[in-house]
Amino acid sequence: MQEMSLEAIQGLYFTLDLNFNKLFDACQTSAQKDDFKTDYVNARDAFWEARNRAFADNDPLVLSTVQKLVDCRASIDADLENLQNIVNVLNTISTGVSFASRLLALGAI
Amino acid sequence: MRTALVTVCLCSLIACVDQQDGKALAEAGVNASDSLTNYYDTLAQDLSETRELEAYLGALRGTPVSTGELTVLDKTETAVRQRRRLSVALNSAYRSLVNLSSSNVSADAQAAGTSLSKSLQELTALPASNVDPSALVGQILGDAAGWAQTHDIVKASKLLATQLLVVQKLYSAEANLYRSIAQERGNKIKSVGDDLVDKGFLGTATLIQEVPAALGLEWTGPNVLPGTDVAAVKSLLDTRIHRFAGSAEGATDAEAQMLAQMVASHKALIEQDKNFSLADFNNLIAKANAYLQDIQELRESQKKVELARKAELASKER
Repeated sequence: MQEMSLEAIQGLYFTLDLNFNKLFDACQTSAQKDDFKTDYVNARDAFWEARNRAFADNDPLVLSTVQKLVDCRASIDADLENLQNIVNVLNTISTGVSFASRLLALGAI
Repeated sequence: MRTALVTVCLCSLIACVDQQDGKALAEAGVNASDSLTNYYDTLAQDLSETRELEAYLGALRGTPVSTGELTVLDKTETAVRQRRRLSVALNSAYRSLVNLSSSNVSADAQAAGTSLSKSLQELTALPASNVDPSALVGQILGDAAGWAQTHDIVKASKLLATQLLVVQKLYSAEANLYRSIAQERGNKIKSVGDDLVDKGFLGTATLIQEVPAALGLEWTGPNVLPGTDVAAVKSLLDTRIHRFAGSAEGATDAEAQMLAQMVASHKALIEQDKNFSLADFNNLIAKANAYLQDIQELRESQKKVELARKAELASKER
């Protein structure tokens, strides 16, 4: 079943929240740590905001963005098994957060 | 003459049975709306605890919550509290329905009907559910006060059923959102709990402290038991969080089933279904309450995490 917008944004945020220490500890530089913290805050705020927005979950653009976000989360889930290449993981997280923000922009207030 | 008399007696008997069924349904409605109120209470508590736990985690992780985001959280909390008020108003309406056959209740019933109508009108949306409460409420305003003006419990049940349907539709559309509230709180408890265990603020004695407590005795041993490790405490926390998540999920589903059955029972009463029975409805109320009771018990045990967290904050302030 196709995930809806709120569930997709929630999925990313919950993954980052539950694995915060693991991902944070895997960061090798201060800049990486800062980037990760920013992404976490944006994912969290997107989820809180999404609860107060209406989404047209049948809209093709919403559907494709949800799918991209779901794919990002699946990739992060797989990466959590092995955080050797943290740069790639952080990039995927940032991409996921940007999809969450895009979804939020598509939601009506 | 005799046939006419028998017909009149039978009609009176049927009407009496209907009134009895109506009263039984109203009594079950009181219990069901009580359960719904408790459910919304737990959601409101979840939101408030999540906010507090995130403030702690924000300080710890360097990810503070902005004032703007606090306003966003306020909106969600307000919406949940409105739904709680709605279920309280529904409860008052059912209480009035129970007493409808008594004398001098029309003023109370009128007030309850108006209060329910007002609560329905005041609802703000939780838009992610894609349901606009005002669109649902618009169709029932004509009926809102009407049920309270009749002394016929079956007629009143019919009118109240329209309002109940709005509550049920709203709940059904928002159920996933409710689930996410409980899940987020569970995640925060897990993160805070793990952090406290790592720092040694939640000792391994947690594993065994409840044994003397169950006997009414106080644990006087050390906080950290020799030969145990933090993984065991984290595992205990995980088990409790999973139980909490299961009960929260169970409560959300059970309340949904209970409301659906409540609507079905109203329909059966109105249609004078020969097989009218409240057994399923009462079972679902009991099921929903069992989950809520479990959540309450788990909250009590999780207060230890809360106390440890507050102790840590206090020690930092010193």
